[in-house]
Amino acid sequence: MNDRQEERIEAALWGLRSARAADGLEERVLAAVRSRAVARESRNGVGLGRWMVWSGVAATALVVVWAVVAGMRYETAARRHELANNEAARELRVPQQAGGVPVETSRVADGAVKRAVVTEVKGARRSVAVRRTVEQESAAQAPVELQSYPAPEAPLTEQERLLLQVAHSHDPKVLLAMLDPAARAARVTEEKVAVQRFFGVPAKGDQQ
Amino acid sequence: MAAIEAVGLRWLAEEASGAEVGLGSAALDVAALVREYSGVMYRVAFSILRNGAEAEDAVQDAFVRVVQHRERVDEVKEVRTWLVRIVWNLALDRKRRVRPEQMDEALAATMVAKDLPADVRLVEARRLVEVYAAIDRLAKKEREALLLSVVEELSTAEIGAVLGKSESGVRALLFRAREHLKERLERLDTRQAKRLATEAGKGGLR
Repeated sequence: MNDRQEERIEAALWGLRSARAADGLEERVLAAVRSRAVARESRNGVGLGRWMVWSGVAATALVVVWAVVAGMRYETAARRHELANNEAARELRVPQQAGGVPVETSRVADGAVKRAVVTEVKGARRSVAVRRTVEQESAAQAPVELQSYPAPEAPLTEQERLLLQVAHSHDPKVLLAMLDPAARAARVTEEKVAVQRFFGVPAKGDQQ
Repeated sequence: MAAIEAVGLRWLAEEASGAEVGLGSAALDVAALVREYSGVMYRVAFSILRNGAEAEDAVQDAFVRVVQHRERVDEVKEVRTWLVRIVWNLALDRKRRVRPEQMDEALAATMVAKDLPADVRLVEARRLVEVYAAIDRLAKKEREALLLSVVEELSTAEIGAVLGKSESGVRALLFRAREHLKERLERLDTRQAKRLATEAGKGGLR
């Protein structure tokens, strides 16, 4: 019984053992390996080229995105800076606005100005007060803003107005007297003569 | 067995143009390897796949791998064992897709003697298919040892190198494989005899 099974096993294994490839196995294997190797090389080349193209496209897209983002950030920063300058100038000229949009100003310990602009945003169903702090400015920025926004001219005093009238009287003699000491002395003398002529002989104290 | 260091070097892609490319200290002539080892590699693959075309594809895949990993040639000591292990693993991987049991009937039909009557040839072919099915149901290591032992060119030591076993371990596996195979076939015959007896009894009652 055991021998019979042994024979069956041997017969089956002999079928595997006696397997021989069809003629020309070596040539077929070599040709297949060579074609696959060449295909792989060319595929690698194409893949490398494609990779370079795509990497270039990706780099360009990255640069464009970076430029757009940088531009947007620069524009936002510029707007914020402009808004801050306008707010500071408005505060310097008009410390407290009456009505409209309230502006809260507080000065912190380090001298910086901290402003909070309260804006009312009216929604569809209710109004929401949004408190927005614009920025803190350093005290060193104040002189620059003073130069940019000088105080209005003070009104002239009575004396100043008189001086202005004298200065702009368009009298040639007055103008010459301002420029030439000799002419100014002659004019003074002429005025004295006219006074003496008008008031007569001068008093004793005046001659001394 | 020739060590890989003793073999000349030639990279396939440049072979057509005749150019030789140095790969370190080692040298690889794929054409020589194909001439020398493609036969044994084919039989190793065939023992698993039981199909000529699939076995040939496995051999081609193995040499493609050899070319791809030619930088590792320096580390190889036994070329035949190395190549057999490559084609063995590729054939095992391919077997999951091929399902060789579907081709066993065609293989068995070619193995049965042509001079037998048709009904006897049919029975003999069926009995061979049963043996292959029983081999497939063996434990993994036993099945692999048995199939590698089919390849006459491989020594017990080489089978052990492929399977990661010692020579004595391989012998023990082969012994157990044959014993288990005989037991399975015996049980199968017993069941078939009982079924035939039952059918004969039913036929007699009628």
